[in-house]
Amino acid sequence: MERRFLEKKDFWLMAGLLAAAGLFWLVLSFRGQGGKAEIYLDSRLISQVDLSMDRVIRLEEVPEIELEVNHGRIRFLSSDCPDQTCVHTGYISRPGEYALCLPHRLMVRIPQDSSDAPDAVTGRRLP
Amino acid sequence: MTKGLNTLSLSLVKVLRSLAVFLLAVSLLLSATGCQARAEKRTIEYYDLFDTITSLTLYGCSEEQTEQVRKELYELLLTFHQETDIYDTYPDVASFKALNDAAGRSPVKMSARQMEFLSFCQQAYEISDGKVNVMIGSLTSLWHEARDAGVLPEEEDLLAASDHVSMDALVLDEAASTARILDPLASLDVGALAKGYAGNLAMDYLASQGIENYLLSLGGNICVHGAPLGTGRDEFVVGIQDPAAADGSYSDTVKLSGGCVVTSGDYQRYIEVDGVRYHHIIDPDTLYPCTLHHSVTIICDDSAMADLLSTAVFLMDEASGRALAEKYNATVIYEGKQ
Repeated sequence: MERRFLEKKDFWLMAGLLAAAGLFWLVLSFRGQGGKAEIYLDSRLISQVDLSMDRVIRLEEVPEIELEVNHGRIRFLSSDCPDQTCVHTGYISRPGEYALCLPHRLMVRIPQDSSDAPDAVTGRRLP
Repeated sequence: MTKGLNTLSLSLVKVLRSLAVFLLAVSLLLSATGCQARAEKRTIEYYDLFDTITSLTLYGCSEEQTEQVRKELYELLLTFHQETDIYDTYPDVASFKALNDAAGRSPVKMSARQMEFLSFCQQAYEISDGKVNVMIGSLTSLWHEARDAGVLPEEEDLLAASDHVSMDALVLDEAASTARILDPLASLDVGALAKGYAGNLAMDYLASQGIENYLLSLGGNICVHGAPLGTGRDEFVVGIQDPAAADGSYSDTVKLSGGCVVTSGDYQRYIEVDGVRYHHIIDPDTLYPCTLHHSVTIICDDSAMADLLSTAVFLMDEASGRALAEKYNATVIYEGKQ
């Protein structure tokens, strides 16, 4: 019996698998963008925080700071630093946004993977 | 029996074939999304300079070169930070606090760089028609205390301070490399110009090291050179901070392959008293924060010039601001117009 290696239905299968994989990737990247915050201490990534569960977080490395996760957003709830700039920044949630405690060298950032995001943003708030 | 085996081997072939197709699909997908060729991108950050974050991203630099830049640039910027510091004195460096402390008494020996910078400050006063005045330390210190205390400064204190903001009180002796403040009640505040000038120092240093592709952010003053290698773009994309949103949100973007982008905004440092926001950019003529604009962005080749112009244009009406920017080949963008 002569058979070609790939038949018509194989192409359908391939197309179906590609579509499924594409969908899977879309779901993954969507979840990755919306639901996560990165914590940097001294510009080193020390923790990734899932924003889907509301809670107050105290970091082992910087026990003087409390972070609060609420409805997919995160903020500095309290800090013992003198200027309180980090607390005043309020909630962040969108890709690229960040809040910063300069005295403790701690930054909370919402990661952005999308390639059309800018390389930098001007004019940050200063303590 | 034979037929059953045949069916089994046939379905085995089918499964293997599907597996091959699946692996092909996955590898196609991976190559399309995650694994494009990337030039190495390395970022250096400093947290203890100019009361802000300094970050430098180098594209296509080796790890050794990045480490060398990290050390040498830090030395360079730390020295300039100490030299221009108005809050602290240092054992090995005569800071501007030392110069302020000696006001009305004696000249202070300055480094060649401090002399150049102070001379630039004098030019800035001329260029901005008096709007960018580094001699308003007596005035800005009142606003600084007010921000810390959360209450407005007294009108009479502001008026009293405004008698001690003359640029003529700053006297430079190039031959002796000394500076002197004649008025004992006057003082320097170089906050509007130091970061921009530091940007030029950093860019000159990076050029001397043959570094072609980088993005430098001095507390949100952005300086770029070359291209962000590995992104497929030949220009950097710089977002302009949205005055009404959190840090890192942008309301506009500009593309450039060389030059500086500096924003002055009323959202950067402020106190709120009775629902009114009092920010940190003080108009030396009214003695109060200027309320003409929310955010002014300057794009030009020179970092010090961009810093100077962003403050000057922030303190002017739109027609005067646009005219001044044009005179120095700078582009101005207003955000969040009122």
